[in-house]
Amino acid sequence: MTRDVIFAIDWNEVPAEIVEALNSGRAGIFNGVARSTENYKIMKHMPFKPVQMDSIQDLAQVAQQGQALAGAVQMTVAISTAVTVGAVVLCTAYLASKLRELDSKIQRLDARLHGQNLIFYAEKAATYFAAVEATRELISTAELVEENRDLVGQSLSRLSGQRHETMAFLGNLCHLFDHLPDEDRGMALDFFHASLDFVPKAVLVESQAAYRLERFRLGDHVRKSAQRSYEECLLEYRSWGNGLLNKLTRGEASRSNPQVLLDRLSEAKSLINNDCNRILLTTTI
Amino acid sequence: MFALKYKPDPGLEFLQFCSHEEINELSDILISTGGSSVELSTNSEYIKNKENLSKCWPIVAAELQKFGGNTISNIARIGEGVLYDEIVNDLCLSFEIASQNLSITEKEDEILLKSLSDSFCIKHALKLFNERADQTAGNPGNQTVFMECIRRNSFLAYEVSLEFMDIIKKFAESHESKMKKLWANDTRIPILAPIYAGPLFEILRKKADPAFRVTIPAIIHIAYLRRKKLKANIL
Repeated sequence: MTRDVIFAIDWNEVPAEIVEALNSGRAGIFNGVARSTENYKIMKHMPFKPVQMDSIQDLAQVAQQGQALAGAVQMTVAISTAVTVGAVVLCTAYLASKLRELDSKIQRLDARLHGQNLIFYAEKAATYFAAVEATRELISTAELVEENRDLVGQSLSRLSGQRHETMAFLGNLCHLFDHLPDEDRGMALDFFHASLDFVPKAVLVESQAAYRLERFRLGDHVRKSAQRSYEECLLEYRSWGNGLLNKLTRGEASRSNPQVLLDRLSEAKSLINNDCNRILLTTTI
Repeated sequence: MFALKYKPDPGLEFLQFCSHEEINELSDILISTGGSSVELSTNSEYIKNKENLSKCWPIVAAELQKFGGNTISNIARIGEGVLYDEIVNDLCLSFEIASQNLSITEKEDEILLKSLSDSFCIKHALKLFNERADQTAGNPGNQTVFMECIRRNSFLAYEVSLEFMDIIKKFAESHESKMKKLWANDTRIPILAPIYAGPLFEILRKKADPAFRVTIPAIIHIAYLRRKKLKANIL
């Protein structure tokens, strides 16, 4: 098992007035610095301490560790979780491993649906996720950002378009599920779950890239816009899933019809109820 | 004795979404009403999962299918059940409900409505309904309009099934001695009380086939669970 060292906020060293400002929403954390959310002026450089992480595969576990590092106040819990999870996403091989998983799902889908539109768009989504990983590498250290500000800027402009394309595709994919044969639908669902779960991490990288260039408004805008698309996409999926499952509950579905979803019910539930993803989309670090 | 075997059944598949408590209530009904014909309580899978019955819902469903088979073929303990839809059709026939072209949910609604037609029950249901009429579908005013509202509004049907369980539970509490006399040999009155009291009391007494004792309360409980799940959404 890989052991990674990441940096988490040392809340014991944070002055009470900063904690209060963070809790009230008057301050947010950008690039590890507490800034006013009104004018982005620096309020405090946050103190960090190294934390050893046992696993980079399960963000839910990481989130729990992050929560344990925070106090009892809701917002500091969210910030602590976002900082810890964000650090894992930004500074470890987590994204690359997720990318490999996604890639294998696309390849399986490709083998079944070769040449169809679905694959064309799925590959576009894969290109987006690869671009996210490339951007993550670019912003992994302050020195890299300083040396390559132009490249980070170019990445930002490219990522925005690719994100919109990917979200539109994932939204449309919900409507395609009903038209696919069972086996293909299973693979499409696996791809959908993995992709949508990846999106908040991708948005974290994109918004962090903007913050690293001190384009705070752009970073905030990316997060808020992506949050809306993400929630809409989840809502579409929930509505499709519940429609199918309600049919089964009413006794109107044949056994095979919702089986593909039933086989993936726990994955679907954990995606829909994933607080960690929501925190990544709502909290700056 | 034949082993319980669940027949894939569209009408009962939703039981996989039910909690341990919900399946436990259903199995209590089957065990309490089924007498010596019940296989559930000695079934190894059932015993193994006694603490988490949601894992073995097919076995509980299979027991109901078996009793349904008894009402239809009247051949006890053949181990082969029938689909839930057939069980409901059988009860509809007995209640003189025209069930052709109705979905399972609609048939259950009609059974609930038929049970509600008991004067005691309808009086209380109407009172409760009128109390919340402003938030629902307007003031129904009378029994006919009230029943039509239920047919047209699945959410209301769920509300009614909830109220229905509550009303007959209260009735049962006030008629405990009558209940105990009827089911003198049954020591598990508490779970049975809500089901056997009130409007179903007379119906049950009139039914010659003992398997109706099992299927009627089970259908009412399943109708209630189905509406509960439809209201909550699974995802």
